[in-house]
Amino acid sequence: MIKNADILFNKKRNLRISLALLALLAVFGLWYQRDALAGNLSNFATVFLGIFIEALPFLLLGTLASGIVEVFLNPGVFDRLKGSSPLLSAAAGSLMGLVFPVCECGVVPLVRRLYKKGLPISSGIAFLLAAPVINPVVIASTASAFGLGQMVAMRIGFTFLIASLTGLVFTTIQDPSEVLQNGGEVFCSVEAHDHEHGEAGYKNLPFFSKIQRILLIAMDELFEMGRYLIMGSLLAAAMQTFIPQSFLLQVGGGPVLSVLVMISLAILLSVCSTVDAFIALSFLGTFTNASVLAFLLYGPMVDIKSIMMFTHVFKRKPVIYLVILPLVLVILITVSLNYFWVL
Amino acid sequence: MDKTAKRQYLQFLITLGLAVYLADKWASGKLSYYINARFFPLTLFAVGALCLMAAAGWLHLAAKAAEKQVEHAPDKNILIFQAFGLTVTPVLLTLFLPKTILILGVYVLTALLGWLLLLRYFHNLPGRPAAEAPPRSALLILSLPLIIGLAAPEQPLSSASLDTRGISLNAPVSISQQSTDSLAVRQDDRTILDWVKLFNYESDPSAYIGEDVNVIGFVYHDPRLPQGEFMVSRFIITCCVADAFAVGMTVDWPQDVNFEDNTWINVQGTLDVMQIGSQTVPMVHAASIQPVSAPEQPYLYP
Repeated sequence: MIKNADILFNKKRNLRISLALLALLAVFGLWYQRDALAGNLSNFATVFLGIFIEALPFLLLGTLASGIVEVFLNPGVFDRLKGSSPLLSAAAGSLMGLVFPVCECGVVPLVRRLYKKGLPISSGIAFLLAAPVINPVVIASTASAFGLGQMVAMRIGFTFLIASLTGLVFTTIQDPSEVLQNGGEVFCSVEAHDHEHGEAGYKNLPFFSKIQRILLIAMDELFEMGRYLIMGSLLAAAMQTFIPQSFLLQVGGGPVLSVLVMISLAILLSVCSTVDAFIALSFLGTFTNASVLAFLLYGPMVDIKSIMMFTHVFKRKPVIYLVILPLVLVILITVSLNYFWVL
Repeated sequence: MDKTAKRQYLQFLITLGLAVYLADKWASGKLSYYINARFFPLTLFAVGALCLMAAAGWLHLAAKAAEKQVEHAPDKNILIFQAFGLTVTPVLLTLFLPKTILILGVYVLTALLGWLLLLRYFHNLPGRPAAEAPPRSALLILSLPLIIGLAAPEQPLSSASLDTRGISLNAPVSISQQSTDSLAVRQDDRTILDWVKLFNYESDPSAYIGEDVNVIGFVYHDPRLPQGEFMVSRFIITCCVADAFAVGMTVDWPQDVNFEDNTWINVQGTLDVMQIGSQTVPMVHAASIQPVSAPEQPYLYP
């Protein structure tokens, strides 16, 4: 049964579903805004290009990091982590962002590459969810937006908690092929071309060939992951252009509803975690602190473009876990904070 | 020419095209239509990374060709020279000639030259399995930003998007700016954002009634305002246009000249205070309104 579902849930199908969804949205949007259409189409293009131009450098950083990991990291490097307790390996995964500073666009290709190098599944999941927040760049930008205080501490603390817990759920899985699409195979012109050299091949390459290898891996991954970034940006731009945000903001109040509104906004806006703190600021007056925290917690873990990338790399069940578990945890944490925490 | 090489060549072209596109946006100053100026260095990093990738891709293609036809194997230095020329030249030219037609010309020439060079080497290659090159969907989708970027008019966000975004009566400021920084700005230089901020963080904004106002913004007829009044507004962006929101000051313009939405104007007059709902918002009694061309940086940064 599960195997069948996985076959159904393949890349081509995902792509088609996204395309159909996009077309549906476009049709709805055209109908809804038929009068002001001309102006809106150019706004749609501007917003799409804005998201793409903003996110591209971050995706490139991720794919370059992935290339460096592939070429320079020894396969046995994570063996010690594998032997350690489940709790420790999940926690270690949550903190790995301090070593690999990537945001949510870059983390997906990187985590798949790290799995190839033998990273335990639970560490990888925790890394995937936590790295976009627990890394030097994002901590600095959050602190510069909110000041070094409760908000920063809670963002880091709860992200660590949620990511580690979600990672723990995956502890029992040992084989990456159980969670990854195609057993984690990467289409890659270089690897296929040079597979006769095998894994150890990189070591004996001259330095410049290593650099070229890194660049080629990064370019291939740009084309593989960029698809999902672009589809996500198109979707986000369409939603922004054709569906009024103002009504979401009017729903506003209430300890539960405000959290849900902020989480939907985080998914809808799909901004990079390195800058979302500044955007969250603009909601401070309108929403409670805890709801803004929900935006800061869930946005980096899951949004339109990261869901697209997840479905490409992971099988269906892990994707559902990755989207639902943090969602439930974020809602639990921030709704109770809404009742008990007054900043 | 076999399928894989063709796709890898297209991959090279699209990567190079993205680099040229971004470099052109930066050189022509139009990048500020899309993202906040403080992220420009990141875009330049992307241009560099894409160029290097394209060069690596070209070297790979050429080396593969050379491997297959040893008798024509070109000197390695020549290969590197070609890769450098093919990738860096169009981007450099873009930086010095920010004219779309010229860039397109240079780009097409580069593509043709590359194609000819490749044809020379890949003439009689046996077909290779297609799985080694990026899938067609990836090539198609990655060229979408290029297609949309070239086909859509280069325009900053317009007032049409206010129908879904709405106009904000608050201005967000980070903790470090929460004081009345706006007061430090010379009164004549205060932007719409400075005035709106002032009203957010000043307990009694009525103290400023009568001060001179001189601001630039676009016209938006807010449905909440009575006849004869409209908003002069600016979009505020923190990272890219996706997070844009508009702030505005109400303009009271007794002379019956009807400005269309999205017209850029320079408003001079004196400050007053009015209520929209429960919010106290700034209002300008306009003494003069001049239509102006859109500023080079259409958005304001908080």
